[in-house]
Amino acid sequence: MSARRALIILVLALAVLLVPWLAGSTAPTQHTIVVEASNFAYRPAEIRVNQGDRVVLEFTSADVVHGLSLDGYDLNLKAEPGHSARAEFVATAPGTFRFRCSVTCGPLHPFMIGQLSVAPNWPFWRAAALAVVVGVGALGYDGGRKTADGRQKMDEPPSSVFRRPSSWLRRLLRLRWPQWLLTVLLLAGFILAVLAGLLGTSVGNRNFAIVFVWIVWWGLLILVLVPFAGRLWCSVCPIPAPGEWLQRRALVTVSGKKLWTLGKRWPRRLRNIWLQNAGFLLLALFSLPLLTQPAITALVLLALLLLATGLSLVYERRVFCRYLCPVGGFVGLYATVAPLELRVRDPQVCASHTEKACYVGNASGYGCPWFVFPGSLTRNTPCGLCAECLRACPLDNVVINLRPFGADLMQERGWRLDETFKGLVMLTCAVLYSAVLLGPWGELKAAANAVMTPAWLGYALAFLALNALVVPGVFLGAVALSRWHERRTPGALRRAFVSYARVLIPLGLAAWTAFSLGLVLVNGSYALAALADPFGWGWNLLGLAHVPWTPLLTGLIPTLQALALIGGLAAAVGLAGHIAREQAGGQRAWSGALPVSLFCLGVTLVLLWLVMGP
Amino acid sequence: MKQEHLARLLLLVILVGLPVAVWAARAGLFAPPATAGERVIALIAAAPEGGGWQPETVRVALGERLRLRISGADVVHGFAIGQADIPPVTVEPGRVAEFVFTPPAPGRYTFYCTVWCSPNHWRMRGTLEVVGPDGVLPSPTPQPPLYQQLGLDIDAPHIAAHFPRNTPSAARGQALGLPLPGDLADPERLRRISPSAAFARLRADPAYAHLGDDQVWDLVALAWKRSTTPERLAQGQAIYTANCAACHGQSGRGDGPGGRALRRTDAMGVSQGPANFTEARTMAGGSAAIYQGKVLRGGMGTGMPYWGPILTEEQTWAVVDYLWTFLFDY
Repeated sequence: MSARRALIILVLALAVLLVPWLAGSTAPTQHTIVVEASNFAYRPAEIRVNQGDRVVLEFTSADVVHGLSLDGYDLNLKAEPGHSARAEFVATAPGTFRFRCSVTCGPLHPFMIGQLSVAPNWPFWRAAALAVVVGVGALGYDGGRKTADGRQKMDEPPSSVFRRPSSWLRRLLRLRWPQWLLTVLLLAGFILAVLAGLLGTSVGNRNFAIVFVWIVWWGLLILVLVPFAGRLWCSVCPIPAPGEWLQRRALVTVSGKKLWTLGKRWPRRLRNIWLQNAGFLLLALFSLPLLTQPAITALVLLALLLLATGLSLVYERRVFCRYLCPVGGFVGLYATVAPLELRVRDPQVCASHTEKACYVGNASGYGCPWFVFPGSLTRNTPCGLCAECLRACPLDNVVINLRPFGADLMQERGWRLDETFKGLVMLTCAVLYSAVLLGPWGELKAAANAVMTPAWLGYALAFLALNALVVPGVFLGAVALSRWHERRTPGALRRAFVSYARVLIPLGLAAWTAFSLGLVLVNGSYALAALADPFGWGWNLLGLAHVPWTPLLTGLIPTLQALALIGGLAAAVGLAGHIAREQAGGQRAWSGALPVSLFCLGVTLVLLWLVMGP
Repeated sequence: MKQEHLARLLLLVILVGLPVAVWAARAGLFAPPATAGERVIALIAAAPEGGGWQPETVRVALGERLRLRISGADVVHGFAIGQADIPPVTVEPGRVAEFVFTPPAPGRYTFYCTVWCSPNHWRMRGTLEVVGPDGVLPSPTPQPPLYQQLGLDIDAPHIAAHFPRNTPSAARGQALGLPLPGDLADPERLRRISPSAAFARLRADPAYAHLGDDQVWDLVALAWKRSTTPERLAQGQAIYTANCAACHGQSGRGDGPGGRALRRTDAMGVSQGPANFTEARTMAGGSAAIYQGKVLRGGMGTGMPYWGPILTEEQTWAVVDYLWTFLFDY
């Protein structure tokens, strides 16, 4: 990008952030607004006022005790039928502010949300304008220096984190027990979650199973582990551990025995992530009961454990992780973003090494449980970071590299249609969850929760149609526009579809980051009380049982979400330009990137509207 | 191999030890030894649709100090014992609340939910049976309430023959500077008559013949105000807010959210629902004795709960005193 162009983009970006709004200000008025709460919505769900207006809030409840805690204001009301509450405040800041129930009122309590819209909604319009400016800027970004063949050149080759063969980190990774110990501790947490889910209180936000699986684990996974360390979770995940121990007939050590399994081979036509796509969609259809009812969470966890263990006795290695785990599918896809990779130092060494200890195992390490030959590993997706190959390799050829974010996305080869759909499904689900779970529409939540009723069937059909048809269709349309000139070449569209689908990865990860920030910052404080009293039986293990629900950074959440979304858009559009150049054989081809970039911009604007829109 | 053995031991501790520890904790093995003379009773608080109080009946012996450990199963509930002067505890979902109570005498006590938790909230009641040292559960015959002593039919309609067009004001009545007749100055006697009857009584009295109808109503309001005290009105308001406002409305208009489900039109085309205490035509036609009777016995089939086992006699009079403030301006 030329310096002039960069300057223009920067000036435009600053302009949309700093230029004062020109709208004529309206004279402040007073609004008396009666908000009635009932499971699990506010009526009205949206309060609209102008900046500077005085709001008198009369808060009533129609069924049980509810609360109203307004983001960004020090305002927390409580009402019961027959006892209303009242508060007055001046809407000083413009923007959208969620209000949420602060008194546990039933299963969907954490998702009982309304919103105050203070016009003119500068934050939203600024964010939307910034998204457009950043999108346009990223579209023009030509990847900096290029090699002779037009391919993008990495700024630096991946650098191993092992400076020397005797690096302490390397020695640590070769030790077997630390990883095992961590897995076993997580297994203890897993068992506690299952026990709490089955025996403990049915109140989700007071049950260890719900709080530690869907808030703590989920937040850690999607906000920290996956973007920064890829599949690191998979390396200590307790779900496949018992099956793997049975296979190996050893816990920590390398037994040297043949794997104790029927050793069947996984059917060739299932060696992809279509089953993971289906499994994820199936669970997603029941997401509200799953996320709010401890017993259902416990049963799903138990089912996954049994499935993983059973499969390990029938099939070789970790079939469950690679081809079935509903979590593993998207973790593998988004792991391509992580700045961390396990690779071989020199592929030539592997090619000439006949023993292939990394794949078949030896006395120092088991053969790769993930069916991966490290010598040909080019992307993070299939590698579970279990480090068995690193232990087994007698030539010290396996290393952990630090690399730029999203390095895997820059390569053209290896992407498949099942992964394209994974990217589409994950993006669609992030948008739908942002609307259903964290939006102010009570009827939508009620329909999603009322499993097997006509309302739920309607919701499920719409959910599946959007996931499997609408969004893929729109994306396919965008790709088709990019490749209009070769619309008659057989197979070209499919190749381009799969190739452009890489933009869904930064876009989807950003969407999940935005969604999860809204979930985790608001509900994270439940973790302390759930740790002190995991079953809701009145325990007080660490003296934390009475820590009140404290939503964190509520005034900042929309800003953080917007930053994540715009960052994801910039990465996606930049990537679209890169893919367009690949498709055009290295020629500058921003017009080829335009339709897909517009798709990305559209999704980002929808998400911005969902998190901070008027 | 040593590593492997250690690992097996640790795994065994987790796979077996963790569930066993949870079971043991549940069974109370880690609980501090019970205090002598104290009995710990576990109670589940769930909305009536979810099972109500579990167990619904608790039987204990007199002399035991009871420590009730109440688990909230769904929404916010409250626990209190009827006719006992102990502040209620709030039972939050997924938490355990404690309520300590030493029954003062053998007999049946009603415990009940104090927080509106469902359209059937008032059905959330249980019985605490306290058995005397002789092993007997006494069932005393209480003094019949005033409406029974008077032989009143509290289900009969009580349309007022006279009722005020404007809200009568005790302050204006006071300003008239007229003495009230002795029968209207006696709180005990005032409970037996309706404002409508009191109005008729004054209207017929030549001593007040020079007054307009509104002024006579102001005198009625004055008589009613003098039959109570600010303390009793405050007590009545607290009871009304806690127990009645959900259906009858904070304003007394019968428009509380809890009453919506009760609103219906019967076969005769008469619309039914929580009483509107501000409607003078019906309110002025009833006496305190009738209203106390309705509070005590409830309205069979209308959704009005019975408060006899819950409120003390003093409390029922206090809440009836408060009801008049919807008709009169004190």
